[in-house]
Amino acid sequence: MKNKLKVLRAERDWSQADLAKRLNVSRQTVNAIETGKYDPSLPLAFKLARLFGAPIESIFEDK
Amino acid sequence: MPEHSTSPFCDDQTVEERRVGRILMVCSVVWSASLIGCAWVAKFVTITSPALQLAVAAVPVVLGAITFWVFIKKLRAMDELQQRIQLEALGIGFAVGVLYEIGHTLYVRLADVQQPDGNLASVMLFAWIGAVLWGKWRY
Repeated sequence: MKNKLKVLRAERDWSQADLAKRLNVSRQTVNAIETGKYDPSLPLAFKLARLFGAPIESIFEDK
Repeated sequence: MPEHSTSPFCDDQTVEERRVGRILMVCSVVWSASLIGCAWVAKFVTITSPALQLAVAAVPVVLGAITFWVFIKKLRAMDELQQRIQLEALGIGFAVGVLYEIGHTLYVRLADVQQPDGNLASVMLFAWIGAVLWGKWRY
């Protein structure tokens, strides 16, 4: 699944570790989501959407 | 905001996961020491009392149960990707153990081995460790 996490993170000038802290996940998880190696669970996707103030479908899209 | 460890070696763990990890480390050391101690007693000490024999055998089992309980607590403190890595690793460890046991049992019967010592626990442990490292590298 493609996502705009890296762009959204860069817009806020956050490192992967910063985002990981805000989501209460490991930095490895943020990296794995950004690189498309791992698709987050629905609760984590909602958390991301709330954090960035954007709908889930605007952050994630099907390949 | 959740608390995270400030250690450069543990930046992928929350404070809670790190705290449980420290307890797990202590439990593992105590359990290992009890295993070595009980194995030593079984080899070099003659115990005639059945109750004492049972008590000595039970020590590493009880300490092992506590260690596994703490391990489950650590699993619960992990984030979803780390839990997935652990689930896959435990599945791989279990599968390797089952296949090893099948192969070992058949070989012992076919080759008529006189002292059929296997080491299922070690095989499963190393398969699990290998699978965790593979999971960390893969994601």
